[in-house]
Amino acid sequence: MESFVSIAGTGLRYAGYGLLPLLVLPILLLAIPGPLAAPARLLRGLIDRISGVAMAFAVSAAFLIILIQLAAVLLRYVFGLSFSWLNDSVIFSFAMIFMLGAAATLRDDGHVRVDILRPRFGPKTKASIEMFGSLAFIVPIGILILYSASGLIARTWTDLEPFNESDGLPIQYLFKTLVPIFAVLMISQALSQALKSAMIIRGLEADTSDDHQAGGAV
Amino acid sequence: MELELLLALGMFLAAIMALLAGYPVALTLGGVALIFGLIGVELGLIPLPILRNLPSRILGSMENQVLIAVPLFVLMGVILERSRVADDLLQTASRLLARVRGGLGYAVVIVGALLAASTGIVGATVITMTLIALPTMLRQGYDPKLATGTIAASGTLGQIIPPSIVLILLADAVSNANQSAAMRSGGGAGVVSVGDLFAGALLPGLMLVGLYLLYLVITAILNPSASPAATVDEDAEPLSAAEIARSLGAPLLLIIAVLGSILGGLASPTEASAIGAGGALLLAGLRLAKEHGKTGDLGSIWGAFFSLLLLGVLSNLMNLTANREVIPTGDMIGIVFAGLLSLVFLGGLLSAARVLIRANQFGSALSSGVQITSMVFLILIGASLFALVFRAYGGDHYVEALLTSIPGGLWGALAVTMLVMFILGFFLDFIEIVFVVVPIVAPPLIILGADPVWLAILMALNLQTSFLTPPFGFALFYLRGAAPDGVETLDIWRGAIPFIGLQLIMIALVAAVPALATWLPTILG
Repeated sequence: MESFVSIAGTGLRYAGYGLLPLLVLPILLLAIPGPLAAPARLLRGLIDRISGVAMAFAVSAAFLIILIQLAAVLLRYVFGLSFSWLNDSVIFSFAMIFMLGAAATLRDDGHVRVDILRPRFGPKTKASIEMFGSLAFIVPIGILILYSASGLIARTWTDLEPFNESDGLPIQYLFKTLVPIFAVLMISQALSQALKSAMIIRGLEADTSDDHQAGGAV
Repeated sequence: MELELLLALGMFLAAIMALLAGYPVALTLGGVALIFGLIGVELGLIPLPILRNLPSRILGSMENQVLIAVPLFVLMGVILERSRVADDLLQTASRLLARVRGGLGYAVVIVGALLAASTGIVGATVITMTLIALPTMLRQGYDPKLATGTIAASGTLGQIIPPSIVLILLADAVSNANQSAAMRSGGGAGVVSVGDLFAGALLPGLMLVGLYLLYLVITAILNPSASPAATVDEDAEPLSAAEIARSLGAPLLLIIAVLGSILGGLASPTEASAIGAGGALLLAGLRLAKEHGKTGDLGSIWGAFFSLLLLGVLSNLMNLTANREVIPTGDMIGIVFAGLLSLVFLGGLLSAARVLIRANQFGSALSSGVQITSMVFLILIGASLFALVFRAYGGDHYVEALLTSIPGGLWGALAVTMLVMFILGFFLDFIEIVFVVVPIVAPPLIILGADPVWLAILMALNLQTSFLTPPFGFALFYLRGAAPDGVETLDIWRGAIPFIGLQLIMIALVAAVPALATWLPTILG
């Protein structure tokens, strides 16, 4: 098992290194928009769809967390039963909601912004800020997470670590794996956002973002 | 000045500048912190392993039992909002009170308070009330300033009236602060629970509702033309008792079930939030079943309510504990029956979900719940990176030294903190303030002698006020976005001012009489 995990881990690491040059694509797109526009669109469509799939899991988790937590309440108050695996399932669904939903929320502009100067910026200024933020903020944070979590993830996979209690869910290692999945989803969605911004700057696409916010509504 | 202090200050300023550029707050906080963290590593001021703590911080928030209530209360709110339960509530209340002088104003405040206790979503509440109540109020000759001020202020009640997301997040932050304060001063620390803050916020929240109503009554007396009674033809058909029971009674029951079980110590906030979300789903199913349900859906949803009622009765009459060595036959029959009732309950939930799916509201309600939850927790992740780097530069010690050096001890430090938070509230959302500022300022204040619950309630009231303060108050943005074109932005701003005054009175009251916040938690705890 251990050798398999380490081979798979090394493979994933090199796949990551191999994909890293894609992050230069938005900057290249600024320089030579003509020939790169079509592949950039293709890549963006693909990434947006991947984020959408993750979002579908997050939405299912949002429904599941209601049902599972209600079941736990009924079992506890009516039948006097409590199970660690039920509690672990609630935690798992809870984490899935935001770890898998964050990228699609970025895609749909659902993360709260400070709206003081922003309405005064033109579409190209907005796009430049968007591109800078995607590449200078999200990508480094994502890489920091991947880099620092690698040891933790390798350990949990070699042990196939269960949750703590004896009757807990046996899949703590999958739970912890949400961390690198989150990082990869955020990096790839940042790439998609940067490509979109580069296209807006180059006039290949109109700015479709309206100034509404899903966030801040709490 | 030392280099560390310079960099910690620089990081704060850089973050504020970057935030003004309008990039999403969570990522700006994290990104700026990472850049300053790497500068620190490069200069040898920060050891690299500190930055590598980020994944374990993230895991910490993924496993946080207290914060599980956040998505569940958010889901409860969006489901109620999507199913137009809120619309019904406002329509009924305003028709009930329309003939009284200033009645629509009272209706807005009361409905605002009820929505605060059920959905707790400020943006949605303000927008709903603006769309439904504002045109009617203007048509009936209300002063636009009074009308918009009432709507914006009542909308922000969701921040302070439990169950509120702000209070859950504050409970987590203040509890951590309390522990670190106890560690530094060497004493033991009690845990500050979500239930404590809910109980603590209840009295100030209700008093705030009272103050708003009092202000409206006084305005109606002193300046009758600003808040007239409805003309008779506005309300042609009288309301039937059944309509009132359905649109007012159902949400009220849900509020009582959720809040009652938390404050009465029956259920943890997380458990109660699941009851709230499930109840909201059932109510939404009931509301939409006529138009979108198939035969049997309505019966199945009612069945869920009755089975819950029967389960309550049954578990009080019999011992249904299932993991016993010997179970008498009578109890066994009860357990089997209770099992069947639980299945009926589950069936009702699924029927309600099916009705919502057919009404095209299920996926969109869950998606917007996921988006709001992601937004909150991404800020938590970004802010924890920010706090990590700020601490690594020793920023928390500078803040502590600064706060303890302010003359006037606790009161001086508290006044400065409140002022800073109020100003930050102009351009930061409450979530960022709770995650970034509270962990830094709360421990020294607690060491200076502030009661954690009292401090948290003051902060919550303060943040609620900044939602309302022009030009950057969030509630005012939402109102502006939904208001008809004839309403001037300046009117909206001027309308908010009296209510800000009422807020300040309330803050002063709680500051002067801490028992307003701490009495209820002690008798309930």
